[in-house]
Amino acid sequence: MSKIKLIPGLFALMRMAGTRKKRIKEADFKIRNDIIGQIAKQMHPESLSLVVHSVRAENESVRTYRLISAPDSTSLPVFQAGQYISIKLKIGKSQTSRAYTISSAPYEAEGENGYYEITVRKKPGGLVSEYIFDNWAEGVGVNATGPHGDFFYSPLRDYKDIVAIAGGAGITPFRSMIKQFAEKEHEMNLTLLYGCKNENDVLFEREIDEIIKTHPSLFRRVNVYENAPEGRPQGYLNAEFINSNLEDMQNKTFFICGPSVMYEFLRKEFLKVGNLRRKQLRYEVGGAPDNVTKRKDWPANAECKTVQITVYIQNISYDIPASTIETILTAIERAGLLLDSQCRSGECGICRSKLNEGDVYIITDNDGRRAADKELGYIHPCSTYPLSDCRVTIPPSNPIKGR
Amino acid sequence: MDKGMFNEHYDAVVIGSGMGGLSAGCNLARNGLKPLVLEKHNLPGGVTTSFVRGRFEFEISVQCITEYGNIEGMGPIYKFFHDELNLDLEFPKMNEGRFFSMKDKDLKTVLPLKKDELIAFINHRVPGSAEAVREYLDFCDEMLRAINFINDNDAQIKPMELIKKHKGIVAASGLTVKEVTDKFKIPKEALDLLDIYWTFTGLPMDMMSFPVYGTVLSCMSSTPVYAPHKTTFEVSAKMAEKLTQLGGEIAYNTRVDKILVENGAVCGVVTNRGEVIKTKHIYSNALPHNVFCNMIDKNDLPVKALKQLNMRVPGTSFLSLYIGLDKSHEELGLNHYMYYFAKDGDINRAYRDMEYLKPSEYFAGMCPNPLIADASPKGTSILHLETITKSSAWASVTAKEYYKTKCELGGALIDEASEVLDIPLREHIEEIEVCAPHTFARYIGSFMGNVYAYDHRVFDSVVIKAMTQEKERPIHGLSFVGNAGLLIAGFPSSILSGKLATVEQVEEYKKGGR
Ligand SMILES: Cc1cc2nc3c(=O)[nH]c(=O)nc-3n(C[C@H](O)[C@H](O)[C@H](O)COP(=O)(O)OP(=O)(O)OC[C@H]3O[C@@H](n4cnc5c(N)ncnc54)[C@H](O)[C@@H]3O)c2cc1C
Ligand code: FES
Repeated sequence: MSKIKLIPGLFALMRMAGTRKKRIKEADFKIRNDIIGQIAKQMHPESLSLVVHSVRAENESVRTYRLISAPDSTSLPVFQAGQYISIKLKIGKSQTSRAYTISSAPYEAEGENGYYEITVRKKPGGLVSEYIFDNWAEGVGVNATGPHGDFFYSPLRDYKDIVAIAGGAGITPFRSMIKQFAEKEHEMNLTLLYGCKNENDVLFEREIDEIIKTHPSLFRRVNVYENAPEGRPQGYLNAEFINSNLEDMQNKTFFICGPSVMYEFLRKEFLKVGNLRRKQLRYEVGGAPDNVTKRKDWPANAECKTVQITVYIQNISYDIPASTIETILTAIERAGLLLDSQCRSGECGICRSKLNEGDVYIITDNDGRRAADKELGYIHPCSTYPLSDCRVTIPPSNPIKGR
Repeated sequence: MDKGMFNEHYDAVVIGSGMGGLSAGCNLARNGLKPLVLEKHNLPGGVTTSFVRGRFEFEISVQCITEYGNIEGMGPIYKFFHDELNLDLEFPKMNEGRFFSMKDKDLKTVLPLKKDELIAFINHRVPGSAEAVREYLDFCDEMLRAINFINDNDAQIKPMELIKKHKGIVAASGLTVKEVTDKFKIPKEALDLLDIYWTFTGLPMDMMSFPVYGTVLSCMSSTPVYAPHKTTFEVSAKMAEKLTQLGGEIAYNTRVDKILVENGAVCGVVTNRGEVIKTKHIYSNALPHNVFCNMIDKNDLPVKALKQLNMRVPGTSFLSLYIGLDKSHEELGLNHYMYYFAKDGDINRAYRDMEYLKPSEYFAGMCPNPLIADASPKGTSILHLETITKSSAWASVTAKEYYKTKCELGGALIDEASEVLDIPLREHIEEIEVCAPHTFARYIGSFMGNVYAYDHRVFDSVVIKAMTQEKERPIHGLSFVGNAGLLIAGFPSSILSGKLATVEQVEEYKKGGR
């Protein structure tokens, strides 16, 4: 005999059905405000509508663009020093994107007069950087998404002793961190080890020196030059240089940002230092390499040739040409098809697509693919090269808005 | 965008590809209908997914898979996945008990998995409780059997039949957990040991609907429990593949902005790119709050839809930490798959505390490595800590304070777990991500970032919902699946809800109409 009896249970059930009815009757019919959803949208808007406020030349091939919110749009989203925005552009028939670190500090983005700065190095023959140099001037509208990325200080994960290792234009995230830490946080300290080609290559020298002077206990900077000016250290960012500038290597987090050759070199150098834990080393992603055929694991039998990719988007398909030494994403963009991208380094997964058939080469340095995706043949086209004719299913993407 | 990416018309449009949406889509396609699943994100799964940071892949939401096995044999999820969909999935079975600590009582122990052992264990701690606990757990099993019976019959059951075969669930459907446990006269201390599952259900016992809670408790103590292998994203990805193999379609990066209504019945949807897709059947994995507040023209919206909505109590969200550790679980001493951390037995206080932004005293943990050898690279391990929170508590946090706030509250959980387990967790954190209601709002777009759609109050639980479902349906052709579906919140129920919601259309189709 059960302890919970049917007849009283039925009465309770009927009573509850009555409660439901009564609650419905008494309920209002107002539309409820989704406050959390609104804050989430404010932090991660679908797109950013920006305007070039001013342009500053740092040297012949590097310019800093100050971007503000377009008149009709909301204030700039909060970001963490070290994050990037993804600039969306339509150049000819190609819709493409490029990542640029926000080189200004988070506090500078606050309020009505807030701004983001990005610092762009003009890459000879580069599609977007040249386009930006040629076209962006005061008042020009800019579309972007973001802020994105995981290259920032986490109080739960990182040591308070930060070593920032920058190569060339890789200084951008550290400019943001140094400005922010100086203004808002005084818990962390940061040693900047900056590798440059020559004197001309050094960015933000005076600005960073000013900050160091006013906060000598928080910051330190040492430059090293491939072609050093008189009296400055000559050499490379190597184990010896890093070691000689730090008391010890333990209990520090190394943030590393620069070209991919620097990463390849440093990964080996850090092995010489010994006893470094993986959690101490945080490399920023860097986009596709300039010349993929120079990579160590590039297949020896791979030819440089044109292949055909059949691209499926829902019910439609296209046959497009592709080069074995360019990414599948580039081929898709060249053909004027839409495929959304963000990190263009294989990490973020925004470009996730399915490879139905074909041989490919995948750069696995920042392979952000999930285990099940690998099993099922999914790829991130921004870091995948077609070695033969291929069939690829891509998701629908959304065209950039306005302008 | 190009014309012709989609057909003009589909047998059904499914909004969202969470477990509810995918299973609705799969069940329709398996039966010869042509559904189109529209997903705003670029991945299938909703919260049934994973993410990658550095060398780790983290499961987002599901710690253990229930209703895959059953009291007698294989459960409804197994039947659906294997017998009906033929999915290539294998789940490792949990075989060790769950770690449990109750801080104020200095209690650290491992609760056995199996019912008999659990009863013996509780009886050992609370002598003389065995009989009451067994009777109670037997009654919980009755709930699960009844729910399985409802599922086996695709929810096409007449009330009299349910009363005849499973009168327990009918008798208990109007009752709270407390009203039931009072009848069984279980000693308080024994009940505390059973109530650790509270961390997952999120309501105090004097409000929680008993059949919901009883089913969960029965699943946990009387059926085998499984774990996702390559995270539950494997389930989502394979269901999405199956859907297309069966002739269904799925489109990512495609958000439904509008549901079109004509004469009180749905007739199509409009996407974020302005595509209009016609259909007479819509299965929404998006919550009723999202649908009725944002997606339907006010003129097409009956007042009762909003009243029925506002009558409900919005559910709960999570504060969830995903931690990649740079030592193996053996080296660290993370020997268990599941962990429960509790302060004391005062669940009502814990429930009230959910309304405030303060470190949670009740939370759960999961370390997949003891069960799943390749859950993370060699020499590393993963720890997932989570606690439920009311998202309204987060409404006052500005975007600027948000990151700091979630790190502080997350840090408190890490420190508490470190102390209880005597493991210096912070020293070993290689990767970490803290998710709060905003994170869920961002990725799944659910109202207020809620993960469990609505509280399982007695007046809003399974049997009463089933009784009123048809009468309360405000718009013809529109059904809800997933957490807001017929069953309860959670992974297995969401899957089953998608299947159940489509049964009627499938029957109709088999009879000859579309
Ligand atoms: C996280 C992150 C942060 C970054 N931060 C910065 C920063 O702060 N500052 C900075 O200067 N850079 C930064 N970069 C690098 C930046 O994103 C670009 O990679 C860089 O500016 C070069 O882009 P590009 O378009 O000029 O050259 P690319 O176009 O990439 O050059 C490759 C070649 O491919 C061809 N090509 C590529 N796509 C097409 C197409 N669709 N159609 C025709 N031809 C094509 C080009 O003509 C060119 O010959 C960052 C990258 C990442 C990933
Ligand atoms: S754009 Fe990030 S993975 Fe391709």
